[in-house]
Amino acid sequence: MRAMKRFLAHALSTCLGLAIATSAVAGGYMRSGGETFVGVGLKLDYNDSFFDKSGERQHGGCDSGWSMPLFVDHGLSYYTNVFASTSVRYKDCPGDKAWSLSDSEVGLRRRVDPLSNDWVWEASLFVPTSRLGAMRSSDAAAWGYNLGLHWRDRPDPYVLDDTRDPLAGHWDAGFGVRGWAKHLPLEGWAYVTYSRPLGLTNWALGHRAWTFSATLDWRQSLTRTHATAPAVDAHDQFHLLDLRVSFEYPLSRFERFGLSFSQSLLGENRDDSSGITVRYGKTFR
Amino acid sequence: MAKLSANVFFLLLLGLAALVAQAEMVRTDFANLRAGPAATARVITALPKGAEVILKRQEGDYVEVQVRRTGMMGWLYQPAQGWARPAETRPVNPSPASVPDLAMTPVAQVPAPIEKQTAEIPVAPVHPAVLPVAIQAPPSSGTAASASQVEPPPPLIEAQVIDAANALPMAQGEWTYPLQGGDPKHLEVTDLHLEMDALDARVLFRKDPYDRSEFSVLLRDSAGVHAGKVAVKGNFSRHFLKKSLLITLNKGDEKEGRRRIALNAMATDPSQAREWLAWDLIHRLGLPAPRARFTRLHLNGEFIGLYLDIEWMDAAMFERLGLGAGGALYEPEGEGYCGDLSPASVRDAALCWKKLSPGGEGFSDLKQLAESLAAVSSSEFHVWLAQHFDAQSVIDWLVVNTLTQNGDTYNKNYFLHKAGKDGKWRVIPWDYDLAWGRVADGALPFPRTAYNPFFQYAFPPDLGMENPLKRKLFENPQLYAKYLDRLAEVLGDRVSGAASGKAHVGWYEPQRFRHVLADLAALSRITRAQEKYPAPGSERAETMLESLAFFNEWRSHTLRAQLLEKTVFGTPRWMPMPPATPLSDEAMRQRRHQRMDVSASADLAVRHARLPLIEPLLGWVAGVATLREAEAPVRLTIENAREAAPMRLPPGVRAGQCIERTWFATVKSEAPVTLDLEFDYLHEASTRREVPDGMEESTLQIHWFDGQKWHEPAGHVNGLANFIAVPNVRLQPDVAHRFVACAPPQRP
Repeated sequence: MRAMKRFLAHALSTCLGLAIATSAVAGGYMRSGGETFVGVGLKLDYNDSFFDKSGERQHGGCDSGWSMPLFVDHGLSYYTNVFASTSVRYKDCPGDKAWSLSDSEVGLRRRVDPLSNDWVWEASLFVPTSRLGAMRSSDAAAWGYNLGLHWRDRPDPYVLDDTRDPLAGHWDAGFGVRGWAKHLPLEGWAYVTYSRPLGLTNWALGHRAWTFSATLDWRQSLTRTHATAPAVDAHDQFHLLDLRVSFEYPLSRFERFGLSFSQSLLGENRDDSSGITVRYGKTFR
Repeated sequence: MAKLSANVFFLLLLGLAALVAQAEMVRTDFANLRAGPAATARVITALPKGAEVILKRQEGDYVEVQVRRTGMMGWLYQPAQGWARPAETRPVNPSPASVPDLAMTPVAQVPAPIEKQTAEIPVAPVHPAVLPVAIQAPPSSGTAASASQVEPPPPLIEAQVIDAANALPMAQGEWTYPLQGGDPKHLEVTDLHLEMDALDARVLFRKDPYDRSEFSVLLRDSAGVHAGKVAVKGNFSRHFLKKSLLITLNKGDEKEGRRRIALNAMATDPSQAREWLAWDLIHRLGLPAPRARFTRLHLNGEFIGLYLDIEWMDAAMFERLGLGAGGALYEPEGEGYCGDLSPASVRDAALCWKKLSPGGEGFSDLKQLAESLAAVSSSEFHVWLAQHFDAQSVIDWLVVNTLTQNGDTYNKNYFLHKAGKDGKWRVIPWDYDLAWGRVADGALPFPRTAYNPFFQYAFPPDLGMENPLKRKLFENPQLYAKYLDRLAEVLGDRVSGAASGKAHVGWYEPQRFRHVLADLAALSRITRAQEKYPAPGSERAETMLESLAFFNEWRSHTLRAQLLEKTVFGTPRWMPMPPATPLSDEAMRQRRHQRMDVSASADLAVRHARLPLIEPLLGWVAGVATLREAEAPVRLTIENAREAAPMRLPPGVRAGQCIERTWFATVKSEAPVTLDLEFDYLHEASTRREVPDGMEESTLQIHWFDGQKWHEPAGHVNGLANFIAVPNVRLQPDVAHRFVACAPPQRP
């Protein structure tokens, strides 16, 4: 039972982790109308410990494996983008190997003020998918919803100021809530990202430069559940703070490569995981 | 809360005051809004008929006003005594300042009958002007002088008064190249009316510069309504609020056969003249080129600004040019900077070239062309060019680049078209907003590489990146001779019988050029006052227009001296040189000096004619002089002590406040003479300049020493074009008068 609880906790957090990670990675960036971005990744995550309900790290359980996140983002117009994501996962633990399809997400983002590039709200649904080879639980969430607000700090693009540092960093941030169809607590999420170029990309001179970013990702339960039997204490209060460090490299004007490292820093009732992801993305017009 | 209420009340009070303030309306076609209450004050902008202004105060014949729509302040000519024309102070044609600008008819009242008076401002016919005749001593009359008597000097000759502005004695502070009297009706200007969703209309100009979204749009004209999409176009220009736009009309909904309408915002050029001038020359030379004409863009009934409507290069355009609809069209890849027709450029052609038509991925014909071009020798190049190209298009392309001093080309900013009709290639030039004196400085970070205050008129004729078409043409004697002939025709020199009367002949001649520039200035002044998204630097548009006039005149003297005239030894002053070894990054950032004294002499015998003094060996312009008063012809010598801090300065002025050049003027005459003098200084790049660090050129004052005392600052400085002009300087014979340009000491 305890193992099952731990499994569910791990499975859920992994699923949530991937889904949220997808949204936070996309952040508030709005694609041009008529443009489509497709991203595919390969993640190796190592997960053999968890944060117990007092926040202590406990070893035990395994939820390590590979996953392949897929992400598509399309600009319906200047004002509205739609996006979708999913992830194919292979759990690779001793005596426990299984393929699964993580919860998939479909959503839209819309500019709050079309004249400003700063605020974007988003709404999405988590589409339930079956877990191949995994034990289904009647308490597993049927579907979920997400509402969020993103903010981007950008310098005024219309100031031709030669004192402006082209290598200056900038901030992105966002917060929102996630809810589930049944029994699970309402979740709050927030992130803050700092990015900066590590050099100047100049296609004319054949210079390409990496971009660095670091994200702190926070998730927190906002309500208690009133779960019916079987009671699952894993669905009680939780919080989790992850750190993700990413490096992106432009392969061409329309393609980029990304490498990121993630690590849980602290939490309660959630997996303690670390992972490394490589990503490739291309813009189509 | 109390503070908020007080502030709101104060704002309401201000608003009420504005509403009840006496508002007037401009009744003339356009009125010059000046920086001060004087005819010699700088024109800030022109207000169109119907513009509402709020009167502030009267001072002499001028009234200070505030433009209601924009809040801009300035002075309009409005004589307090009424409409009587002031006494003429000039012998020839009054400037528009003597025209009453404003009818004092309050908006709310019935206008009293006021006679509209306008001065007759003659506009010389737009044709190649005749330069002042060569100086000839008239035959002596009367009895022959005895051997013991001295021959009287030949009398001075008056210049042919072609340009009214030239004939005017230049008053203190007046523009050296007054561009008044132009008429925008000489230019073809259309109107384009667009309708789109109100929010989309705002978003189109305000959105993220890199966003590529399209918006639905309706184009309304006399034929009806055309539906399509509009998007922002351009690269660097995206960073300006006034966006360049591309309208793509739906199939079947074309406007006059045009499916795509490209509107160039000219945001990088507040003078709004550079592109139009280049296109005018290109068309007159007969180069295959898209049409380009001014268009006033209106969006949802609101005037947005003046645009340049450039014809989209598609099959329809090539049909119109008689080249047939088929054919191949290539363009150097804008960000590759390698479309220079070298073999390397076609090795991975997709990196350096864009294939615009026909469809498909292959660059085989371009590759063949580049490889064949690499194989031909310079001596045989004229044969090769005639076989593969419409040779005149290549010659004319070089001529346009030389005259405009376009360095942003030869590896970008041109198109190559291979006509299906005759299988020959043609060059189509493109993008001249950074030409006409503007300089790229590789030592500075973007965007100051291109967007900087530097200026030069004397770069060599082959300025720009290496390109085998250019190099081999210059090295081939037959083609080079044709290039020089064509250049001479556009300058107005050496016009052969076949070229006589052609549209390009004399186009670059300064007096003619200034009339065209005056028309452009007149149009720009009217529209600039109403632009919804003024280009940055618009407040310096008048200075930029004057810079163009200066560039044209001084470059025409330079090109003539360097390419068309021979030295006393019969040798040319300029020859195409092998490409220079590029500087290292570090060397490029180091300041370079070329300490030199340049000297030139000339006889001034024609009154009121501008005469360049050309250094005899290098062909550099040492200065331009206009003789105003003299009893006989004089010999003037001008010396420029270049790139050295002035050694003698007015009291209280330090060398660090001054341009690092001293100008000397010496006249050989029997009596004092009065001259207008014009000099230039070097501010070509961050590493090649005579301007000390931190100097604000607009504050420069000209001091001059007559051998006994320093005179009060006088004259006019154009800090953009880097020239100074001193009017009515009285020079004593045989004295080296010294001129320096210094900024007042900065207040701590």
